[in-house]
Amino acid sequence: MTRRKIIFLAVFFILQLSLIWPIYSFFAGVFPLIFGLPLSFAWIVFILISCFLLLLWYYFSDPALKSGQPNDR
Amino acid sequence: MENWIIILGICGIYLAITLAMGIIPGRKVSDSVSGYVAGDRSMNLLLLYFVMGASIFSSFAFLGGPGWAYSRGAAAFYIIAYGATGMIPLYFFGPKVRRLGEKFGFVTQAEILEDRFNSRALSVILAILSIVVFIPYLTLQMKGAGYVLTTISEGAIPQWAGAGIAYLVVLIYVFYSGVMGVGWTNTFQGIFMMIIAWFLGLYLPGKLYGGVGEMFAQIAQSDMGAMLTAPGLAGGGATWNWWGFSSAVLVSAIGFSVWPHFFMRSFAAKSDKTMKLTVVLYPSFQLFLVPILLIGFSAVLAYPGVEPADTILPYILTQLDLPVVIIGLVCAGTLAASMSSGDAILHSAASVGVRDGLAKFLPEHWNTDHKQRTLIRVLVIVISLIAYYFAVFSDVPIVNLLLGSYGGVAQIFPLVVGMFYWRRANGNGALTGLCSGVLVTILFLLHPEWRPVPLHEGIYGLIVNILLFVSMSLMTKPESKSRINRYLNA
Repeated sequence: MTRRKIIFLAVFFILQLSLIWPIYSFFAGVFPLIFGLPLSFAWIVFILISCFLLLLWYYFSDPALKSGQPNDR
Repeated sequence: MENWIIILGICGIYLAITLAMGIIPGRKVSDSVSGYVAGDRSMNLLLLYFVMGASIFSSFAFLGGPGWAYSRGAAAFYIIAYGATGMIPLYFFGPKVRRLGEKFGFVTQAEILEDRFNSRALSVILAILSIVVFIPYLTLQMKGAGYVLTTISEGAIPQWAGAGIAYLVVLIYVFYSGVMGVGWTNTFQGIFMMIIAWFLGLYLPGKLYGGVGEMFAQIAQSDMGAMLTAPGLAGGGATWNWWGFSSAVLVSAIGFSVWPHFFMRSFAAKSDKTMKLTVVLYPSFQLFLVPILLIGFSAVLAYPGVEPADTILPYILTQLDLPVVIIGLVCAGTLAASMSSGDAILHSAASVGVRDGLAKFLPEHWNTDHKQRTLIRVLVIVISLIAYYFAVFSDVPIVNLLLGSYGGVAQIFPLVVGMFYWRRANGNGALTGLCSGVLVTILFLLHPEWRPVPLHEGIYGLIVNILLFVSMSLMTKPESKSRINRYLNA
């Protein structure tokens, strides 16, 4: 397995746990309000955006992308 | 002129545009099963993105989402949470599925699993499972559409006519254009409902409380404040527990990428790049749930005690003094949400029913490409009529069926992983795992009190499923080498 894939899986795992117990339980409260949203809501949106950034990085770091067709196995 | 006539006029214009957008692309695809079911494998990024996105945002999102936020508070974040990671497996499966489809002519999920596991029974079971899940799903979409038209016309258009008109439009374009009709209409419907959702989600808190932050601050200080702390409230109003929340998120995330109508869109992608970019961009569609939940929260203090909670959006619309054109647009947006899921489900149910069910039992001369396409079209009509019957005339509590469906669909996931990554996975294991997983899920759905810990029933199904899938596969003969290599090297 390439280093790139290991990093991807590790971050993915952490993000998944951030959406449920245990990590989410640390951010489950109401305050502080972030951009007007309660912490519990803002946290989920933050993780959603993190998932997006993770995928974006993984897609653009695909070595095969430069040679034309990305073909991750 | 009465207000509701203007509102219906706007809905009528929306329906006319949808119909046109649904019929035109059907003229461009080939006259074949591949053209009808997989759009000749030619969908570009824009189409695929909206097909995938809009199929998920059903009338459940537009009516149920605000309802959850309104009645259960932070529990509603579950809807965003499972979608955040649920799509990611498709980044890896999707391109493989697409390439194999192109090479061997697969157009449905069951076909590819049948081939890998060398089991016709598996395909038939998957077809039955899909249709059992799809019909209640479609029924709920129809009910949603009928409900909207009845409410805004103040009862002048009865439920049967409302559902009938909206779904006649769907029936026509799905019948005529197949998946390309679904694709183009979903693009239009998707953009339309995103605009409506963001508008309402920001407008309502502003109008009722003076802003989103002000709204949440007021809810937090009221005696409803506890609902904002995750994991929110359970159905009855008591606090939900982390077991329930976490396992529900997990099961839904696992099931997300293997929903048959969703999975089979991989066959329609034009290239691997299109498939991957669709997954990468998907969270941007998911963000659209944020304003949807804000709509629900805006009613917590302003309109307490509305029952059932699912009617909160139409309720707000009737209470506020909104310009009539806006009400019309919101109603059309709700119709768009209902129809953009309904069309994808209808199309998939008919395709799966013929390709994976009926075609296995038909004599050879009935199984030509052209005749299959005709059969799929006939089934589109039959399934519409069945769902319409349940939506309008029957009192069977069909929602219950749908509740169990996420747990059931998630049972397909281990098979898909095994298909691509596990050499020893074989047909016996797959069949035993899937069937037992589904049965265990149903058992605990019917008897929640038998669960040792209050986890989602789908988790128990998955445990039994994986155990039996692995052990049965190891105990019996592997599939042939050439078959396995086809998938491992896909």
